[in-house]
Amino acid sequence: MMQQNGFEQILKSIFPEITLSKCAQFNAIELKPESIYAGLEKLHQQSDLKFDMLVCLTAVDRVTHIEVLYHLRSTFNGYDLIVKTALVEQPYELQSVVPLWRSAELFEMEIYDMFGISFSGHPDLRRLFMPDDWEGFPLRKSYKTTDVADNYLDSHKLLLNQQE
Amino acid sequence: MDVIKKDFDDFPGEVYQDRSGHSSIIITQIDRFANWARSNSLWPLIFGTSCCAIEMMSAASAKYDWSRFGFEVARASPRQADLIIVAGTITLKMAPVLKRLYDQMPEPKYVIAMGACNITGGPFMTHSYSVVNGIDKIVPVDVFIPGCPPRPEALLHGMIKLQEKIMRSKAFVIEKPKK
Ligand code: SF4
Repeated sequence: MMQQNGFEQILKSIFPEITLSKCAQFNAIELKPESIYAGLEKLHQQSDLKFDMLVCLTAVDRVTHIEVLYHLRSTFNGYDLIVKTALVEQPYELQSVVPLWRSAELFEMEIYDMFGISFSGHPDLRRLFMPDDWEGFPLRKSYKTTDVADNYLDSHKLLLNQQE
Repeated sequence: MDVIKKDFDDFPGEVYQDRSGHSSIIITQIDRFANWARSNSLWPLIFGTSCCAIEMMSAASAKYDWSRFGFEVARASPRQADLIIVAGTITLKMAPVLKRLYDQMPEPKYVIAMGACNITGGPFMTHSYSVVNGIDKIVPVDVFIPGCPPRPEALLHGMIKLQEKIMRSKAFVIEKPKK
């Protein structure tokens, strides 16, 4: 518990108006999309915290907005933290955190592929899992999956009755 | 010349031998003979895309040992293979690859669709944006083996069924894929 209080105080000293919440077993804070990079940079550099590892970077479609979650870990101090941010308006855009954590590179490609969030400053933002000529972002709630597979085969002349 | 008839259970035809054992006569049909050779030396392509491939490897390994039926020469190149066991989910990104591998195989060639994924899309059938719902949409399939995954015994059963199918086909007529 001592450690928890200490951690909270350090966080408060960096982000005075932040509230610490719980997200499963982790502590979580929420930042505004426009200040996310500056905030994460502080968490990364601040010597009391030193979040040197980006464990996971993912997104969730909450219908009203898309939530992006950064799972951070400090291997020096043993802290875990989730940083959330909510993107409300299209086109969804965020600043890339590749300069802070190299592991973000593939995570951001995946999120771009599945949710269509473009990360400015990413060295090579393109589709990761879906074919390069795919249209739409499949993990958005508004995405319709009816017949997409068949249409794809059809448009690429792969169906058996299209071959001579 | 005096000849005696010899008994060979799985040989499709009649074998005669003279008393000294030096010269033999075989009476058979060329179709049956070619099919007999083909069906007992099917060379599968090494092709596995997900969980079903584990069962395929198991069928190839010592415990189930598919060499007993003449499948042991698994080839890493489609140009040397005449059977493709599609073991695993075929995603849309993999579909052109499967098609190309199939096209590169020399005739006569056979396809076994192993597992629910390849029959209908299986667990990914209804709401998937990325899985081919049945590979018979892109390549002609000879034998379907249901299961998720099918056990090695089921795979062997399917392969024996394929051998039976080959035995009943016309050896020198190459059938085009049915439209
Ligand atoms: S049928 Fe089942 S075991 Fe086979 S590839 Fe599909 S999900 Fe995996």
